[in-house]
Amino acid sequence: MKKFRLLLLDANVVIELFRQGIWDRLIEACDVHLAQTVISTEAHFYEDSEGVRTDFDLGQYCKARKISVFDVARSELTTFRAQFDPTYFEKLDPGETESLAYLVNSKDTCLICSADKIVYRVLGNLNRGEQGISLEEILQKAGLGRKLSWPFSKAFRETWTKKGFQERISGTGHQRNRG
Amino acid sequence: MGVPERLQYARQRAGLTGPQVKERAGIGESSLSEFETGKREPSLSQLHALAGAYRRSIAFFLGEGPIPHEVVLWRDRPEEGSEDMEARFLRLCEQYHNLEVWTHEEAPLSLPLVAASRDGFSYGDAEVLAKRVRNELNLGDRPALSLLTVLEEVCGVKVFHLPFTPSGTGASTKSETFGAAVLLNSRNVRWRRNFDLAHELFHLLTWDVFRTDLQAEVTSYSASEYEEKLATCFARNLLMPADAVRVAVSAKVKADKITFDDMYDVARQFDVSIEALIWQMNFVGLLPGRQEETKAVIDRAKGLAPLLEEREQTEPPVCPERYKALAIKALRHGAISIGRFAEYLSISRQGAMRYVEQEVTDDEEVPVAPA
Repeated sequence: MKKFRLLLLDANVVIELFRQGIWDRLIEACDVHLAQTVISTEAHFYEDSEGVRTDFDLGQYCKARKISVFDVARSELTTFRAQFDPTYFEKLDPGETESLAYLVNSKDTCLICSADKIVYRVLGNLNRGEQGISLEEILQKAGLGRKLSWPFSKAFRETWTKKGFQERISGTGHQRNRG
Repeated sequence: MGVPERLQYARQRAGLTGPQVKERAGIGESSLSEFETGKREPSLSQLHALAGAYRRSIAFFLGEGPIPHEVVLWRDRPEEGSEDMEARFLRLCEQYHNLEVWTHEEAPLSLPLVAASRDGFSYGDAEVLAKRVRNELNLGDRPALSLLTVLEEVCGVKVFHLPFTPSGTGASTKSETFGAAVLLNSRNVRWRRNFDLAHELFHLLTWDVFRTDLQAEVTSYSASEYEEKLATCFARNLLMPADAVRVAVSAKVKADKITFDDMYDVARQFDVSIEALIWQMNFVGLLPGRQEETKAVIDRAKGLAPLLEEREQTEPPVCPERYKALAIKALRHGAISIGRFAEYLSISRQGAMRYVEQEVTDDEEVPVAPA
C-alpha cells in the first residue's frame, strides 16, 4: 500500500529528490503525478554544491508507468482562473499552475508538494491548506526522513499557507473581485 | 481578442514562420494552424511552449479585451531578427512592470514635459531642451556619469542591454502599461551607450510630439532623418554642456593647440566617445573648420584609439540592478515562484533556489524621523 495517493510534486521537489538520490525510493512509496510541463521543460537536471550538473530523464519513468502524467486543457483552467486574478499565471511556474488547476478540478483529494511560497499562499487563499504537504512530511511518513533545507520543511509550508489564508480573510489576496 | 487571434498576433509580431515555431516550441505546423483558427485548443503545456517561443506571458494569451498598442522606435533597426529582438525587449519591459506591481514598488514615469509642435521643432529647441533636462534632473557638468542611474532610479525609465547588430543601434518604447523603456546595444562601449541613451531619451521626451498620428497597425517604427538629427543634437548638448566643455578643453590647450592625448582625456571626463567630443568642440566653436575638416580630425583621432583610449569596458547586465532587486524582493515575499524568478533573471532553477535557502527573516523595522 502506497503511503500517499495522488501526490503532485512541483519541479523544485523533483529536482531535490534526484539531488538527494531518493527519487526512485520515493516513487515506490508514493503514487506520484507530475504535470506535463514539469516533465517536458522544468525538471531535467540538478546541480551539486559546486554547480556540477547531472541530467535525469523523467520520460523513462513515464514510459515505465512508474509515475503518472497529466496535461491540463485550457478550458480546464477556467475553474482555477475564475477564482484568481489572471496575473497568477505569470507569478507561478507553468507546472505549478497545471498542478493547482488539476487539484482544483479533481474529484479525488490530491496533495501538492512544493518548495514555493506562492503555491502554499494560493492553497491558503483557496482555503485548501490541508491539500498542501511539505517534502519533510512526505519523507518522514515514507521512512526516508533526512535533513532538508527551509523551503522543503513543514514550518515553511505552514508559514506560507497561513499567510495565504490570512489574505483570504482580509480580502487582500488575489481572488477575483466578484462584486 | 480570443486565444486563437492572440496566438496568431504573437507569432506574427515575433516574425516567426510555422517551421521556426516547430523548431522553437516543438509544435507542428498543422497543430499550430488548428490552434490559430480555433479548431483545437492548446493544452497549458503547449501554450507554455508557444509563450516561450513568442517571448510572451501565458497571461497574454488568456487575457481579455484588446491587445495594448506596443510600438518600438528603432535607430538603425537590426537587419536580421529585429522582430524577435522587439519581442524580447517588450517581454523584459512587461517583466519589469510585473515585478514593480507585485512588490508595490511602481515607479511612475517622471520626465520633464515637452509641449511643442512637430513642425516647428528646431535644433535650437533640442539644445534648449537638453539644458532644461540637465537642470531638472540635476545631472551637473558631467551628465553621462549619472544619466543611466537617474533615469532608472528617479525617472522610472526602464533600460535594458542586449547584444545586437549592426552596432550603434538603440530602441525606445512608451506604453500605457509599463511606461517608458530604452534598449541599448551591450556590444557597444559604455561611452557610446551613454550617447545612445541620451539619444533615446530625446525620443521618449518628444514621443507625444512626433508620434501623434501612429496607426494602430504600426508596431515597429523608424524616426525621420530630421528627428534623428534632432535627437543627436539633444544628446550631444545634454552630455557635453557647452560651457563645461570649453572649460575642460581650455585647461588642456597650450599655444592654441590641443593634443589627441588630451582630447581623449576630456572625452574620458565626460564619458563620451572621442567622435562625440570632437563634434561638440566643433559646434561650440573650439575647433573651427568645416565639417570635412572636423571629420578628418575625427578619423585621425579614431586611428589613435588603440594607443590613447584607456577606459575600461565591461559588458553591462541585461537588466538593471533595480530589476534584480525587485525580483529578489518578490521572491522573498512569496509573490513569484522559484521557476519564474529563474526565468526573469536568466539563471538556473537551482541558482534561484539558493536565494530561498539562504534567505534570512529580515522583517525588523527601525524608526525613522519624519522627512
